[in-house]
Amino acid sequence: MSRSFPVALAVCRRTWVKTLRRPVVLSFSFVQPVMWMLFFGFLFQRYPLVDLPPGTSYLDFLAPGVCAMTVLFGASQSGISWIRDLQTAFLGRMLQTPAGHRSILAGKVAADVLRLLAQALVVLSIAALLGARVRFAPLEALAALACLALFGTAFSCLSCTIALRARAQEAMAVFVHVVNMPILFTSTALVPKKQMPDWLAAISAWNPLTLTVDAWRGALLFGSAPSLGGQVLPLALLGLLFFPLAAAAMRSAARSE
Amino acid sequence: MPSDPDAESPVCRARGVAKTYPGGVRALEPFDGDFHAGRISALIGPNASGKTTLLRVLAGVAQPSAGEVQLLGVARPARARGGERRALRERTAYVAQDPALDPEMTGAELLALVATLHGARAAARGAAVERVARAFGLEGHLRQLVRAYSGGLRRRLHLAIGLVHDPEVLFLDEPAAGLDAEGRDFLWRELEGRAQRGGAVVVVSHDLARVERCADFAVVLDRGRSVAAGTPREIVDEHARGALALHAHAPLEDELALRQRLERVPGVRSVEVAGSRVMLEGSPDPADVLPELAAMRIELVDVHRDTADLCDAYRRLTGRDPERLGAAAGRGRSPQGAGGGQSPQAAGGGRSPGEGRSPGEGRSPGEGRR
Repeated sequence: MSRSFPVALAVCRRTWVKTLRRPVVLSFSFVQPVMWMLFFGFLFQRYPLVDLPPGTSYLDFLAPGVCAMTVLFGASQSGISWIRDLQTAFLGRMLQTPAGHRSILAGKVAADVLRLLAQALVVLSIAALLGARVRFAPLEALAALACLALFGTAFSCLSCTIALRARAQEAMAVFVHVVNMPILFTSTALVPKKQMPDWLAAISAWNPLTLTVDAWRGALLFGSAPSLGGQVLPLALLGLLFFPLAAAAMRSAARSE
Repeated sequence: MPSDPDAESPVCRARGVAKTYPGGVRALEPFDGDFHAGRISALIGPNASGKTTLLRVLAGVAQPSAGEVQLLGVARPARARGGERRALRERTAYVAQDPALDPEMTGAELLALVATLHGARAAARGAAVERVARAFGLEGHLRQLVRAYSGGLRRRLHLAIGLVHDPEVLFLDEPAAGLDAEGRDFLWRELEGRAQRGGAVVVVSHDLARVERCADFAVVLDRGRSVAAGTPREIVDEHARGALALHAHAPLEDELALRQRLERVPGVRSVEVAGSRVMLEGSPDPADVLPELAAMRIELVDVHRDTADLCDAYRRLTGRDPERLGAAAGRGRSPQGAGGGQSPQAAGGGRSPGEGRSPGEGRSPGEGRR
């Protein structure tokens, strides 16, 4: 642990430095959520919402969903930087040191997840500027933010696994669309569960994005805390499942160089 | 610095190590050798002679298909796990030939990152970065993104990163490739300093003049086989002969008399006469040879001399021309390797002038500048 922490911290800082050096890419990541809020927000403005407190607009409902969506899309691109590092052979160089590959992976994933949380909060602020009403319940919001972080960790690890196994940028574009779109549209990010067809509602109950969105929306709309067994633990398990997969992919990528 | 109290026991020991790559490509025939602390050991040989494979196997980066490697007392270093592997990685360095750098970071960031991955604490990191940056003349470039570095600077940074954790045992694959004269000076000064302080250096090099001057031990590889090993002096004494090639104005007539005269000249081992050309094997003084020819009224149009050095030994051992990096270091060698090769046609001047010139010579003349 005493050896791993400085390593993870150094890799985390490296990831941030590189992100900040490309402000254009960073600012582009805000364009998409804003467009979703504008297009969907105005498209479904008069969409009748059931089971929500009176006076809740579709934008109020949508804002937490778009925050979670920002994390989903950002996390699924997390692995792309490993492809660059494979191409420059710098990944192999890092893995040639005594540092453990898990510490290196943890630093990278932590950097991406923290960045995505910050982005989600910026998106929420933009939503508030656009007129979305948010309830402020600090402790509940913090717990919901943890759910967002767990979800981001799991998807960032999945993205790293795919990137390190496929070793090709093209594969990542496919991954982002093939995985993200179904996850988005079978979740409660855009539509309340009560208003889905039954089969879709059944699928969405198992969708990790639904768990994340519900936790986050619960805190922001109703000021309720996420459920430990129903949301926090399943998301944590997902992270615990994908992290070793990514670590194994990293190891084999280093070996096959 | 030497970890072993017994200076004679090698830092790295190879017994019967061989490597066959998937597909049956035999890259290395069984090799035995010891590499000691306080010495620079050089692996030399033509391309595809197995140098890199041997280096990787010795460094514990690749597992040999057969035989045993012992590195710092660890048997099968490529298979080491846990604390043993961590210790090996802390105490050794393997610097691959191709730079492995992140172009989107600065030199200082990369050095600090790799130092941290090696376990350096914040306090020690700055000093370590400063030390290697100075050793490779990088001080003025540390704040630049690597993307803006020239090819030569990238190579220097790559080497500096490889040494940032101050390893005891160093394995370097053609570290001088792509470096300018200044960069090569930095490199060899660093290697010599490390060996003097008790470090072990194993280096793949094409710079035979440097190897002859600086290395304490050399292995000549050819087609995966070790064809000679020892101090450069021993290899030269055993395998180099030197030669003097003379090209007469007209075909030589009294061959027998000429042969008898020249065989008496001190330093001449054998004489070959073909047409208008004479090949003297050995290292005779031209001042002794030329009067003999003058006495026979033989007019010369050309004289080439090859001294008995590591280049000559290399040429005879591998049948191939070494790169002429030595010429840049001011060694007065003939431009045409008249004594080269073991085949008579090569001796007869079959090579075109300048063929042996190094491609690395004169590359990117400005790369040392800011």
